[in-house]
Amino acid sequence: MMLRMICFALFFALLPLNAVDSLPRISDTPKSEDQPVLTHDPACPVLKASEPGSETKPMEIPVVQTEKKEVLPEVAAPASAKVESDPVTPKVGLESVVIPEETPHFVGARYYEKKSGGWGWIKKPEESWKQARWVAVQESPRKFHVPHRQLKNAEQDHEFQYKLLGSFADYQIYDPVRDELLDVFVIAGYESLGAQKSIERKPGPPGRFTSKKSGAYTRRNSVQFEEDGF
Amino acid sequence: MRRFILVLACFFLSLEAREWIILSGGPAIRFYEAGKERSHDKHWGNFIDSAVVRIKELRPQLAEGDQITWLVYRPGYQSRGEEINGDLLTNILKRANQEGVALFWFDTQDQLINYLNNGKDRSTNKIHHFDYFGHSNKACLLFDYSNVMDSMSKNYLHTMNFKKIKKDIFTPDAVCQSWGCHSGEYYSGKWKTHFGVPMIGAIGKTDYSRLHSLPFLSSDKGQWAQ
Repeated sequence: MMLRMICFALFFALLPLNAVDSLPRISDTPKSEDQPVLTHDPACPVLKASEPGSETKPMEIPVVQTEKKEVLPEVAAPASAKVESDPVTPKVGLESVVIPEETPHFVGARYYEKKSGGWGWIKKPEESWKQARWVAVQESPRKFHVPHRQLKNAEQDHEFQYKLLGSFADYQIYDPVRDELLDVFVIAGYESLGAQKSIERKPGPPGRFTSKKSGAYTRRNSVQFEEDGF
Repeated sequence: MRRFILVLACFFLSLEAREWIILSGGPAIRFYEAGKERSHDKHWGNFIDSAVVRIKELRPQLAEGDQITWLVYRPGYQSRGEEINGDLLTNILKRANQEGVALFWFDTQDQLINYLNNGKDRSTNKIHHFDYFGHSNKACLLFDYSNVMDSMSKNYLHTMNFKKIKKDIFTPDAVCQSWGCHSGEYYSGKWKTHFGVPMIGAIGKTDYSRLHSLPFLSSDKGQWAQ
């Protein structure tokens, strides 16, 4: 009997502690400085990435901001259907311009490849095409676009060459249709050099020919992602 | 004494909380998708609305001590919001507050993986439920698609990234589901192999266009698999 009483006493003594400490809820308020809450809007904590070597140590995760706040005007879905009107197609911010030779630039050879997010090869003017990188081109909506946005179809400038302004990004991008990673060139302007003779290279990033595939896409057994199949 | 230890053990076991994670990827921007034959994400909130529907469904199933956590890919809603001049982040925050769930933004794959590994003490607070709403192909959950670059993804969780996630973060009876397209064709199998728990995924495509409803299979021979 005594034993049971002790158990019940322990149970009721510990229960509130658990309920408060291990179950942060939306209505909780931050209790100390070691539970940081971001002060900018919207007030919800951003998760942290692991620091190198700290994978096994639990990271401190801030509790969610709790106070109710005035909410700015809501962008609601139309009541009738989940469709928004598309923004008016923006005008191209920078059409083909003349890029003087003395201006630092790259040279690009467009290669249209069906079912691929690759744009073509890009190299420095003094490099050979063997040194060129197969890239996807990152645009800046309403500012800088790939040349073929001005054309009817994306393949219309196949094997055109361009002088290009811009830079290589420090990250790669994933092509979900081909299940491969591509280098990224961030475009900031171009000058068309017109149609040129073919580049004697197979299209695609080096990994297409050398890396072990994930197994989700192989050219050999023709298991392919459905185009636009997301 | 033995009975006392047994009672205490039962008591502490009963204290173990479980986490229910809802993960929302981000929408495309219309600049890249407008005019395409198969244009994605005409409505910005496909992966938010369906997540909220799911949260409402799950709440009655929570046991004492369980918590729903909603992880949302922030950059997707920032850029879509800028495009349509709307504050989508505040809108999402409001939805989370209405549902009373903990909302966390993530901007990168590393942040997400860190949360899955260490967001809670996974020795005592494992993930019991996992739902993903967003774009996907058979090998990858795509947190952004046609958002940074046309038809491409900058942040994603590929099956090849599983090795960065601890294998024991789920309860043995965890329920996992990807509501994106094609996950059941490849991703689910790799998920089961790595984590030891099944993931329900679609063979074929899913469609988010029904209001106040979960996504549904939209391919002719579509089915759920695990």
